[in-house]
Amino acid sequence: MTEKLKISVNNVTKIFESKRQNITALLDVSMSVREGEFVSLVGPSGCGKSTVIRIIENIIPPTNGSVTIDGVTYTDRIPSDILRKLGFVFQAHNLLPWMTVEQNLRLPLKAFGLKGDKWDDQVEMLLSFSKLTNMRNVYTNELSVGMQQRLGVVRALVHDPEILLMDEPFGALDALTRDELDIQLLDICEKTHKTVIFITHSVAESVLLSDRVYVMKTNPGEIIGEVRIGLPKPRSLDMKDSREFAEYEYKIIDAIGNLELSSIK
Amino acid sequence: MINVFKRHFNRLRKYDSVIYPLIVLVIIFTLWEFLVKILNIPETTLPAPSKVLEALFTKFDTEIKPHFFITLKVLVIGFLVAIPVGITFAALLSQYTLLNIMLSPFVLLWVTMPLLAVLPLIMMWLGYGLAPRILVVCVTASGMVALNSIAGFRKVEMEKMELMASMGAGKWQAFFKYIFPNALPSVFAGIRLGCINATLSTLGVEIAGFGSGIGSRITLFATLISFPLVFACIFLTVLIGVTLFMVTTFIERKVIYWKY
Repeated sequence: MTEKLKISVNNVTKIFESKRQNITALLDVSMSVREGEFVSLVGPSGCGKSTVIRIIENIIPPTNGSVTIDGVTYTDRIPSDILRKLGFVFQAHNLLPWMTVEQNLRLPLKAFGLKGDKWDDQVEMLLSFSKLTNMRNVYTNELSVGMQQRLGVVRALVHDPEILLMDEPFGALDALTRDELDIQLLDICEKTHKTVIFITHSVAESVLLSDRVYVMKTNPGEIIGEVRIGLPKPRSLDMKDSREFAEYEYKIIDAIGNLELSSIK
Repeated sequence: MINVFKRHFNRLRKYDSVIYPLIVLVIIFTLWEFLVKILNIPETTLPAPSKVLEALFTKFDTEIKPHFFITLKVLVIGFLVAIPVGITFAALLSQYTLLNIMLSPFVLLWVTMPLLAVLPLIMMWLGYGLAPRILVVCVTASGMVALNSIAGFRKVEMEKMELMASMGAGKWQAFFKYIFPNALPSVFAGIRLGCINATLSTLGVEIAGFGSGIGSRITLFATLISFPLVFACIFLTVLIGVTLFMVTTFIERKVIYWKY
């Protein structure tokens, strides 16, 4: 079976230099993601998860190594047609307060020069999906945190990217909203076959959402291993109660604690 | 009775912030008038407001009007030109590190230099017309605008810059889409201070040497011991300065709508 590699992180090292000391955020990190896969990155704080995802998005350049998407490799500068395929969701909503909900949502469309009925329909669809239609002319600092974060997520989807990069998007939300959004995310991914790299602190969330989980360690940031999640798709919240789910969780937590991946007995 | 007052004061109605200060002003003027009459204060020490207003209205057309408009012209033109000059300078300085390193110390000089000391030189180079005055006003005001704007352009959130990068924004796209709107509160702080600076510079220049403009009338009327006219002119200068400031504040409310 031919495996089409959508994203490939190739031996990326990132060292942050400062006057006091150099910090090796990532050391020789390699990952690969196939088309349509949902991959999570988990690990303790400071293990470089956010750094990896920012290097893929080309917000930060790697010190060494490169990223390949759809066969195109880049280090310092990402070609604009590749950037167009990426949708980035930030940890905190990251909305511009002088713009309304709709204006914020349309920002990527403006940036990538996407106009026309198709995109207007997309905007309408996402507004109703995120339950923000009747808030479209509200300024974003008047929304609740949950609404702001939902807007942040749909903004990353508005230009219909093939790949979603999500940096702990639901971290600031309460457990119930989080569950709700997790399932909605799975739903979107299933329908649209998006490739997703998802960063989370919650091991349970990673097991619920992903096909594979990369486990990382800190100081320096490295990949300990990857866990394939064999749970059937489509996933549902009640899978969290199963024994299999708990075993996957345990395996990952154990790996984070012991800094190595042991095999399930 | 007390309860009626309390209820009234707790509900701030729309124009209360204008009406109450005006009431205070009226009280002050009434007291002033009263004191001058009762204590028989001579006109050469403190003229009564009635005399001041009388002088203002009778003499305005003949002696004051052309000067009033000269001051107004110099102030407004100098101030309005200062704003884009200051902002542009700040934008370039904040976005090009080399420029920043080269020119930062001069920005400080720009703001702190007492231009009135350089005034004789400016008069020598540019003459006695309105141009040198407008230049002085512009330089002092734009310094304030620039200094505050630079601070504003520097207060950049890393996350928002990442957002700009994630949408492929170039240096100047990120500037106009994020850095500049984000800095508007600081820019307007600079504009407000620049307004005050401009008003003081305009009058300072007039009082210091130029023969036209309200400031010059103040010194003239003082030497002529026409104190009601002196006060009338002071009143006009205050009027110009305060009005300009209030207009600036009003525009600020409209531009930085999301903070209100």
